[in-house]
Amino acid sequence: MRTVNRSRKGRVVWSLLAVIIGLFHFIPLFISMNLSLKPKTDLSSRWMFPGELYFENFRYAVEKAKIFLAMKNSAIITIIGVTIVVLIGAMAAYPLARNRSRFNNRILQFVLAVMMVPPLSMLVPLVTTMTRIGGISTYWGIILVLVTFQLPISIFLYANFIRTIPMELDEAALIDGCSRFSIFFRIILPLLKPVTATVIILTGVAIWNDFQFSLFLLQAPKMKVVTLAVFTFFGQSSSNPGAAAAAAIVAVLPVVVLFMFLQRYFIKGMVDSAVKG
Amino acid sequence: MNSFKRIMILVLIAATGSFLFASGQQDEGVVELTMMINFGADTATAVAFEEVVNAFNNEYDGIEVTLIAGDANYEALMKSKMATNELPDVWSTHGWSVMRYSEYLLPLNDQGWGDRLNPAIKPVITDSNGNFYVLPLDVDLAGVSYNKSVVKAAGVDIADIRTWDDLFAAMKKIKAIGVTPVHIGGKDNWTIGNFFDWTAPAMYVTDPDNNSSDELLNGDFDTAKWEILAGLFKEMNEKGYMNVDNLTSTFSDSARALAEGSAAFEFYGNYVLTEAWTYNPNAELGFFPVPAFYKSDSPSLISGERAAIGVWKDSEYPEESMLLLNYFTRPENMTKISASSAIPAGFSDVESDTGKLKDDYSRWFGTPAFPYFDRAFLPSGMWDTMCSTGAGILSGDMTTADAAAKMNEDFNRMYK
Repeated sequence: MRTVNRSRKGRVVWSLLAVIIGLFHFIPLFISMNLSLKPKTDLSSRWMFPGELYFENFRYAVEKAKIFLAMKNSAIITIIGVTIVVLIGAMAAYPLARNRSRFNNRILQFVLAVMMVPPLSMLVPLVTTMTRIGGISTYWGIILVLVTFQLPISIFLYANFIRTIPMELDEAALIDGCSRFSIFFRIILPLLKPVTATVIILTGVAIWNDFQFSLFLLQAPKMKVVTLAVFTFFGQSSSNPGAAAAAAIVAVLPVVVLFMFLQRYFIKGMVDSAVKG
Repeated sequence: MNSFKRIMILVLIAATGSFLFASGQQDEGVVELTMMINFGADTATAVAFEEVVNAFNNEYDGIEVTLIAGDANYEALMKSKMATNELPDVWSTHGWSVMRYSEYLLPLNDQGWGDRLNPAIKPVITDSNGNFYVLPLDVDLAGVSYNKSVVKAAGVDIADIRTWDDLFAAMKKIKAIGVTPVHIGGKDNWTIGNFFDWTAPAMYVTDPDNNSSDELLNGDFDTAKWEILAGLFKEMNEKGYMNVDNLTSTFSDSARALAEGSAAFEFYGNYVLTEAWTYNPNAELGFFPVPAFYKSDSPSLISGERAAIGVWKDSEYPEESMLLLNYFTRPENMTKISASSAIPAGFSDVESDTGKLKDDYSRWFGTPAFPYFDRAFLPSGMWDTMCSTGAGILSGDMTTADAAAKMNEDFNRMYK
């Protein structure tokens, strides 16, 4: 009897803790919602609910920051960018993981070393190069740069994961007459789903949230991405946090909904890759 | 798996398509110009610019101007553009037309409107050879911004504030009624640099008996004077005359505090007043000249560029860019831009609607005006030192002597 009581008490404590942590995470969203529904002239505390709902901020977000256009741009860049990172990352990792020569190890170490370089340290040459090749304010320009900086982590994760897949699979396929390419596409790629989920989350979030490269490389108003659209409302001598909060909420909604539907896949993928990787 | 593969192939095809599509877009026969301004997209000034640019686009069929409104990173963006020598055709110079941008801009002396320039702005935008590189659409003529209701409630008469001693006496009275005398938004550390830009002229250049302008321009920095100035800043903080969160609050907080009446004085341009009115349109706000430091001196105003535009010297379309620039000299366009910040127009013969500040402008008409201190008397690069040493004093990491020594060190290094 006492054990049952204790376990029930334990469960209550854990649930309470979960609620508190949940509330804590809800705070930024709560303040953003309050801000977005108040006019700038409402000087009440940001913790207070608005007296009456004010939707002008959302109109600002749509008209001034062109948040829907920005979401479209972000979606295009993220989807294409992540796909390229996944494909090239996996294809590059496969030989590096399977053929463990000294040369390949050096390559893998080099890839790791590249991850340590702060991307912004090469901003000026990068912007110069992109300007010369006409990559400013184009989808391909920003995708090229973002993919370049995301590839090392993807190659690293894939290489580690592929090493845990038994070589016998490749050998059996070779005996059956598969080429190296077909082994990769037919045998290995399907087994990479768990780690692919991790790569998609990591690179997808990084590309969606990218601010610095987008700031310097996407200057045409029609090419603005979500982060730049939200930042529209922060100038040096003026700012409009309410409109920025409204833009952020509009931008975050589809991602939240998507995550809620797909979260079990993501979490499963992450756990699987953690166990196997 | 098949569907997984199919999706990936489709996306790759889409990617390739977008590569080709994005790089192939351009209308034939239309000159495309880019214009960048340092005003946020939702500000009144950016809206005014947009209206003028739209009118220009409608009037000139063969030219299409894309206006890019700036944000808080405008300066960083322009620095990277200078480093890559890839600048927009026309851009606003946010106070740096001479010191920073002149080598990238076309001189505008031959445009025929040089003699119409407002005398308060002409010296600010003219270099030592007599060249000017921007069209100033307005004049950032300002002093100490203040909340009239607060000052009245504390029993302070602005006309009595002529020296720093008077200002300290006023701050004491304001503190006594429970209001923060001076608000600094030090998280945006330019606000600290701005304090020194406002107050240093009184120490170094406004008083004929204590004028160090020649020494400064000849590379001689008076460290002792800076230590006194930094001392005033420190004293204000130590006596509780500044907001306690002076290192963690922002410029927006300053504007809001002024609007709410929880702060009395602020050392910013009049843009803080227009921003404060967005929080509280009924706030009674104004400005008064910066107090003198020496007894023999009188208060003075600060003048500088606000909305000033220039043409890139390597622009692919210099003629069209110049056409755009000169379009802004039309009185109705210049009035539109200057009235958006409620400040005087850049040409003497163009009227501006200074709106709620009309009375203040007429009250202080004739007060001597001096340029932003760092832009006129310090070598390029000193702005950051002013900001960081000021922040060091507020945080207690630096003594006033340390701050002055650092200023002197950087002055000598950058002057060379």
